[in-house]
Amino acid sequence: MTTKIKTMLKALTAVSTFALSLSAAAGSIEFKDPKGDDIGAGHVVYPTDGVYKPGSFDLKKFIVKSDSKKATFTAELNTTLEDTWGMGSGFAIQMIFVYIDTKPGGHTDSVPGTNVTFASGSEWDKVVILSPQKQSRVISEAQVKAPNILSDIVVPSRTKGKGKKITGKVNLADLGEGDPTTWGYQVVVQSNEGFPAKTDLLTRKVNEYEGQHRFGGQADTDCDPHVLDVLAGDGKGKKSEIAAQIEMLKFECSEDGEIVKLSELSMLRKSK
Amino acid sequence: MEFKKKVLASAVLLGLASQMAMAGDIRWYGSVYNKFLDGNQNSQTGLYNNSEFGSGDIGQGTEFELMFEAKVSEKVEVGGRLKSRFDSNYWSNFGGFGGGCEAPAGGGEVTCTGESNPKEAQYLKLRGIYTRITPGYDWIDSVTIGSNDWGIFDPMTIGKMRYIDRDNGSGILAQGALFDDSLRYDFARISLPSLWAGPQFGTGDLHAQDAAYALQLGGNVGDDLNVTLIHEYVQDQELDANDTNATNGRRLETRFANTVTGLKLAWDGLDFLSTNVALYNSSFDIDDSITEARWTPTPSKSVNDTSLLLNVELSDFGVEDLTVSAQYFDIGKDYFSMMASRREADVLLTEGYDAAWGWSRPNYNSKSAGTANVGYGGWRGTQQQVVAVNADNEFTDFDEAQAYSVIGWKGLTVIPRYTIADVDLSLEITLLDFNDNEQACGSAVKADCAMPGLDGVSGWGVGGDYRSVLSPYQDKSTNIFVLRAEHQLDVLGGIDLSGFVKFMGDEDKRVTSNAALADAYSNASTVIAHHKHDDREADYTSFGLSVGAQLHQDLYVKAYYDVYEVDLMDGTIDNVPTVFDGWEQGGGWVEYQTGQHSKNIFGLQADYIISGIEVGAKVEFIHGTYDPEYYQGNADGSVTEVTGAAAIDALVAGSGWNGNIDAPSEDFDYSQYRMKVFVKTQF
Repeated sequence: MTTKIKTMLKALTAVSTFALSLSAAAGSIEFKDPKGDDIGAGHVVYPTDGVYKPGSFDLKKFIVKSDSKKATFTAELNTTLEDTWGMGSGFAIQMIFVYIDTKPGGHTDSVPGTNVTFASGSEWDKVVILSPQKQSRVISEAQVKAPNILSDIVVPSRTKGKGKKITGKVNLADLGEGDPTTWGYQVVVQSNEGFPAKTDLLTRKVNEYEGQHRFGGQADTDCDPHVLDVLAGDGKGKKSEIAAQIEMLKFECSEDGEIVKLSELSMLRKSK
Repeated sequence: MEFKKKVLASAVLLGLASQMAMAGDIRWYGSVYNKFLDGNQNSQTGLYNNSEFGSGDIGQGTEFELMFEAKVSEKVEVGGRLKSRFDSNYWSNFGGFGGGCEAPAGGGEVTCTGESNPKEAQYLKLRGIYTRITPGYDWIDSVTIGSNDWGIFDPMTIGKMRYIDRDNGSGILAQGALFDDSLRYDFARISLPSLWAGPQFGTGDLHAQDAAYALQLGGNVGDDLNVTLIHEYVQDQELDANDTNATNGRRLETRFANTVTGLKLAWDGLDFLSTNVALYNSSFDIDDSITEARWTPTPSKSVNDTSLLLNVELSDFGVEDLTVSAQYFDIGKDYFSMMASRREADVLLTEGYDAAWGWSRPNYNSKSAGTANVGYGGWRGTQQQVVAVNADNEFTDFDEAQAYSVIGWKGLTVIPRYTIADVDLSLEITLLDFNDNEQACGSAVKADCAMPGLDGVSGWGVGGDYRSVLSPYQDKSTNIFVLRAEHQLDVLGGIDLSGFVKFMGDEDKRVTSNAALADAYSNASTVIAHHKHDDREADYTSFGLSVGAQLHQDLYVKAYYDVYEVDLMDGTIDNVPTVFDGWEQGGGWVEYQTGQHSKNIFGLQADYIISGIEVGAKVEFIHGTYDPEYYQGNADGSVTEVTGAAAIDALVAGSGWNGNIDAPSEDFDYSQYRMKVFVKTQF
């Protein structure tokens, strides 16, 4: 057995050496998000099934790295990821939407199922979806549920979860021209739902009362934001950003549960 | 109109009316699932594997599922599904017409076919029916009445327990929060499944009031600590046979009771560190008058024990992109929870043994008998560990996970993961010891063992069919080392490469004194002269490579090639199982397997997804060899390999294996082809 262990360590060393030789320098920016703000508009409660561990949807850090060809997006959460449903990606219950503002103008509507909009001046141009679902499943859902924004949806061919981080890499060319470190970003944390409602793009509902696989704490209709955590304030992880998030996610519903005013998200930028 | 207080606090709701938009609406949705099997066993006993009825590997069948959810009022919701029976519902049944029942001449079990056989007729069954009430009081969020998969609890206490569906279990569940939502609670009464949840695979004659009761409390203490407390009580009652006067009602007596308490702490106080610890205590009390049965998912006598799971994860600590996961586990040999997950959970960090050597029940020694169960190829991938005695692998396909019971396991797993230049590396090191490393289970004779020798279904591996960790005579240690690597080549839109190398050393001295041999090997066919003659040593080596690519926007294709090898020394020719019945030989249940085993699996996988429909296909070509080796014991405890056809034939003829090994001196070759294609349409 000792010989076998040595063989394995040699193999590990060889692979690491090969990998090191391939490493490349990258520009990067980083946003931080306070702990404990996975409460959406203020009072979202997790589903009650055991797979939804505390902190599973609590964004702590968002990192963008880029080189001349690729951009890598990493969302770090406040708990260790688990592939409880055997998705094969290293995680299962989370889904991250990375909205990017690369140029003036763009979309104000969000991906179906999140029930948020973007403020004037914070319109998005591309959204990168980090999902444990297969790329083709996400795209096929988008073709039906979001045809008007389909060309601006980017899904990495491989999204993986490791430790507390969900990472996806895309071609820079798919995002547009410019320097990714100067773009505006908004990160929306949602939950991967394999059996979504007919209008939702693989997102999980937030209802009035939490259920085994439904979030609670808001309303049973779609007048409220179905998001669990977003970047807010300066994106530095200060406690005050919790209040900023709640303020940003304010919404209004009519007496019969119709939309009066959707939550309005803003983009965050890193100043040079 | 009153709303849950937190909603009012969180947003501007303009008096959201009680007659909300959803009230009165019914949401209908569902799926149509088609499965296509093909294989060279040409067995049509069902559209998946089953150890009792055999495993079908050919045929086509359809399952229909219609689900609904309805908001009856602001405070009441109902849901459920109608599901067609899926078992032997082959397209070739032509809808299930015809057939009938036949009693064999001279008695015996009546067999039914066609319309008269529920497994063949495509009737619809009621599943997942629930009513959920959300009364709007501060102290309770909801009461759910009816079906549930009970995933809200914990796989060590009450877990998901699929058989055949995830939500066959029914009960009442109350959930809510107290003290300004700082303390959440779940309380449940679950009817015990009379089919399997008790001694001798059942809850006795009187089952309608048997139940499990559970209370779970949880909440945060400060910003970083989460605490959960679970307490469960299971009671199976029968009519008191001594109460012969029925005019004043009938008294009850407890057949068995099971109490499990768990405390879980999760702490995330540092960015680079996550820790959680879970401690459980179980107590099982059984009516002494219940006759011991070998096939039972419960201990045969009253026992209690504890279990501990300690997880630590370091992320980016000192080195960016380096994650180290570690788990210390100590599952008591008498830890028992009747309602623990039987599958669909994985309580340990280790990837465990290879499911390819899972209980595939091949006839290693008989060229004419073929295979049963999932077949020579075993299951695909690794195993998932559960603490149920009866890890349930029935009604699975070869491409699904295999569950394995880890009662009695203790040890340490460390897995560093490192990503460098887009190569994801992971290295697992697991050192396993066993709490049930005892002689006669720590008693004078093996008849006093509490845990059943539940062969097969939860057993594992070449030479391991009957010797699960619940073996009465055991002195075992296991080491697992796995290196895995994944990389996506940035060409042609991305080509996924992955590979693994795995070594496992598995040793078991079994009986450790000559004095215990008579008790250990009480069956007449086993005469072992020295306790060292039954020592088992198995070295497992496996490696594999895969290449995958998104060939088209809708089509992903992967090819893989895996090799599994075992060098097994399973005692001398005199060694036959410590728990053994004659019928097991020759049926693939217990086989002579000492020697060199090699299994090669080449597979192709395709996933085709367009909106509303998913097609998955997996084809495997498996070939392997078994080169038997034979050992004879010497008086001093050493063993000598016997070679040469004549000497081997004579050796086998004079042993307890006589008549059960075809051509003992020849190699055995195996080949299996199997295919599974599914087409799932969601609507």
